[in-house]
Amino acid sequence: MKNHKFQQIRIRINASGESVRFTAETDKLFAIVKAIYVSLPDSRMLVGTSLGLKINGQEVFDDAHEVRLLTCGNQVAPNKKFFHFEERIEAGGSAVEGRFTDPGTLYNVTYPYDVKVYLWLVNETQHKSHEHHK
Amino acid sequence: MTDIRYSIIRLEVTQPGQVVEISHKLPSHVNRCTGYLSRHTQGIISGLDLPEIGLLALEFNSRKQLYINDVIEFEASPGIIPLYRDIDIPLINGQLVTGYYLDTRRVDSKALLNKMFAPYKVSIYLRCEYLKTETDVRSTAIHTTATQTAKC
Repeated sequence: MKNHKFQQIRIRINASGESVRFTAETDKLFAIVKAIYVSLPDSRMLVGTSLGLKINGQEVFDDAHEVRLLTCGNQVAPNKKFFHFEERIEAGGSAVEGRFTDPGTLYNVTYPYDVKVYLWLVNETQHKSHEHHK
Repeated sequence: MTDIRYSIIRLEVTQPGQVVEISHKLPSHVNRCTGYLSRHTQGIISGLDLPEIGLLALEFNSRKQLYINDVIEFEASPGIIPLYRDIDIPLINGQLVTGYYLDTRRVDSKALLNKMFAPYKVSIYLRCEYLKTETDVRSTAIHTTATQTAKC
């Protein structure tokens, strides 16, 4: 059985300074949200952009939480790109709500652009073995 | 259930050499601070990394504990995900996080600094924990029993 899934949430930003609310649902076949990664078209966009996130009604990140703390540069190895949650966050069909905010001060950025939020979902056994290795 | 909260303190620097006073009240339900991270968030545009743009001093529990002295840098190109620095500070309910931020951007001529200075923002992230008390456990237990009764 598959133990990992990278679920993608795509958000379209149409204009400078726009703040977009998004909702999604985690895959029912996976138990835990292990990590998150936010992909932007250009690394210059990282400065000042923010992402708020609630999973299952619980606040994970405040709306002012900077995207830079959840992502990294292109030169970083793929298996090091994700921000790992330190607490246990239930998946299994949980409601995901969030808000992505463009800072409105970006230079040389073409609108519209797409933001991709990746949630790394795992099953129970995989999460426990990861914690054990820590 | 989530029991970590990230508290964000945002500072705005509008003048060269400015001292910004920090006075921030943490939510009353968090009782331990376990991580700290501070960084430039918005405003400075440069193609080069700047090793120092300011100095930061942070105190917890209304000036009872001076815990953090740090140098704030500017990162031109993003590398790995910034890591929280581990701290372990028990928080007293209702007390303040206080401190100062000093802008120290250096340019050879003061006139040049004034001309090219643009306001910028610095964010301080505090990773705080909410520990469940006995009261929370008891209320959960009551809820479970009530649910079971309803099912019967």
